[in-house]
Amino acid sequence: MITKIFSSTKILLLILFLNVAHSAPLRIMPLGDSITYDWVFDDISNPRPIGVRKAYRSYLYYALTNAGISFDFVGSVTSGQDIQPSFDPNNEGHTGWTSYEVAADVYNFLVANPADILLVYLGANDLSDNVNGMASLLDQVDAFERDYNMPVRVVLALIADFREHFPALEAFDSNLNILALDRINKGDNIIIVDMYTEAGLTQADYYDKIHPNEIGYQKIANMWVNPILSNRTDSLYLYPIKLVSRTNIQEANINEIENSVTFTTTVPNNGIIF
Amino acid sequence: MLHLQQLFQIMVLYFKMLNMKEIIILTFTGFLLLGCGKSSHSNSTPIGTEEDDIQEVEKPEQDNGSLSKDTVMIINTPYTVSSGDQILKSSDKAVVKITHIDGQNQSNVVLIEGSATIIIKK
Repeated sequence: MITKIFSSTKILLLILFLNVAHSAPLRIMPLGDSITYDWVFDDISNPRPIGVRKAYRSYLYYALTNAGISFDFVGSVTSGQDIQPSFDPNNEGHTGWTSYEVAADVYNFLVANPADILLVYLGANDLSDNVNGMASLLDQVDAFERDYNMPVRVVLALIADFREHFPALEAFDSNLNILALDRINKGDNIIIVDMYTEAGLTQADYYDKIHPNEIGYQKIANMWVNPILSNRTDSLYLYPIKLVSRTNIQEANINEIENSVTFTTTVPNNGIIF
Repeated sequence: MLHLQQLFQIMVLYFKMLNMKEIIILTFTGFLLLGCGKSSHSNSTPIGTEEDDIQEVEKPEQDNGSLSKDTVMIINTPYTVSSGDQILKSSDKAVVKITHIDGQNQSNVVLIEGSATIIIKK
């Protein structure tokens, strides 16, 4: 009798553990510059309290909460904690940072606050069509995934134009799209979000010449939702880069139905260890 | 016939001289020798015959799907490798196609270009 009771208890504990493991919150890191942190040019002369700076994050928080998912915004920065209704104010928004500066630190950001999903909105401070900083950032995310055996889904924004059309930004987005598609073809876990053409920001949706207003931020928040809710199997994307460097991979295909990954790769000099 | 009778009498006399313990040891020794003889016989096929070489090449995988020893890969032939196994290239450039099902300990590998060897984890 006692054995049966112990056996039943073990099963119940196992079920409880599985439920807890299954319902672990999705860790989402909003990563970017002032458009993630929330800074406008007026803050130079009349800075707002940190507690009210929320950018798109509060709207995204409300949308995901309404969608019924369990999630947690992560990052070393806290801003927007005084907003009502309250939301999770953690993020990695760094005002004025270029993609190169974020790339230099993203590995450590992830080590300090591991994330399942990165929301990357960067490039406005690069003021160039060069996307080497973004390539470096994606390499650093790969390195973190490989070193810590943690898959990270990168939701990558082709960022919205400035209030007045800025040609370098349009070229930046175009090059970023090419870069991302090439990496996706090689199995990188990236979802492109085209804020430039699909978010629908108009000139009326800007607070100043670069930064969106409340309506603009709501439009950006809406664009993040579907890629976050996507049911893709992130661990499938991790497997190839556990074996070889991304530069060795020629082509990769993920089959979500068969739960498999097939990729073609050159064999590096030190071989492939499974 | 006479010889057989004499031999039988000698054996009976010999066994009478032995105790039970010695009889058992002798019996086991006999079985052991018999076993070795059979084993030796099964290995008596010449090593490295043409028949053996064909088996290695045409049947790189065992029934359980895993390799039993280091294997020189053949172009467009599927191999199953396990965690810890290694592929080393033996040409300047070697290209492989790898298929992996999430959560499994094994992967399927096909050599597409060049030459390479699968080193089985010891």
